[in-house]
Amino acid sequence: MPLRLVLIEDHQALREGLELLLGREGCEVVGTAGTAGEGRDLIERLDPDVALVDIRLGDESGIDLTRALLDADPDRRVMLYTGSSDVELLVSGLDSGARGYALKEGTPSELTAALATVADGGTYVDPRLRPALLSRRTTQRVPSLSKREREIMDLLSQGLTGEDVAERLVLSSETVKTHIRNAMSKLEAHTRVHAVAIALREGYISGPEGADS
Amino acid sequence: MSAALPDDARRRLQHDLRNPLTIVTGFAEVLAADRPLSDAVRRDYAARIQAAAEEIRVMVDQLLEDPGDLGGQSS
Repeated sequence: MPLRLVLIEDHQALREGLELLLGREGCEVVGTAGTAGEGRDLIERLDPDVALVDIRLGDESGIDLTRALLDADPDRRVMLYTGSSDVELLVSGLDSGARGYALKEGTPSELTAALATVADGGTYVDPRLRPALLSRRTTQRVPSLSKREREIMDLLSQGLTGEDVAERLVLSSETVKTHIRNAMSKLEAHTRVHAVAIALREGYISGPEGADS
Repeated sequence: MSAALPDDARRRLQHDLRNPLTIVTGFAEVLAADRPLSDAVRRDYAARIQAAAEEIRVMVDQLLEDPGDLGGQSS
């Protein structure tokens, strides 16, 4: 079954272009909007597998839209989309609860794979952001992650869901959830993807090699 | 050059330039791929690239002529 997608992008030509390009990649773009208000209505009405939201929507913020969507429904799957590799913006974006963060410099096929990962319950941070995340590493001490927590964060960074991780490590889903909860608490992260970003930044995990994650 | 821009204008420029650039690279990738496309589709994609390139040209010209105005560009 094709992935059902709602696309919120204020740049009309890009919105129309993405609709065509992602359609060619096998996505079903069920709705598009150019403003935060229209976008929120559309996403709540159409309940897509994933929503792709531009970070800047004219004078409005895609991050604020994401926060509002997740306040209303914490299970909503949102991927933020941006032309900026500003790491502070990335951290704000992940704080909003978005499960994915993709850069506009990625190819349509990369974007489709990232959307599929998020739609399946996984997380995604564009691999081009990893050097910036790593260079932002501070001397501030955060509690160390256990070997098992690092292992799980590493698998989550590769786009695996909690259930996939449980299967891979031959653990129960509840055990994996507990490890993730503990890691999030140690890293002071609000969401799984935020925890993965912090774990990358702090050097606890290196993430998958190459750009196919 | 961009180092002289205020942070907000630089961020906005980075974001705004990516929109048409994403159109150029996305459709160019499809045109360059070894997949059959009808002439009408090929023309449509080329026209989208052309329009996006023109948008980039306008932005670059504006940057060179009056960087201060970029803070008012819409995304």
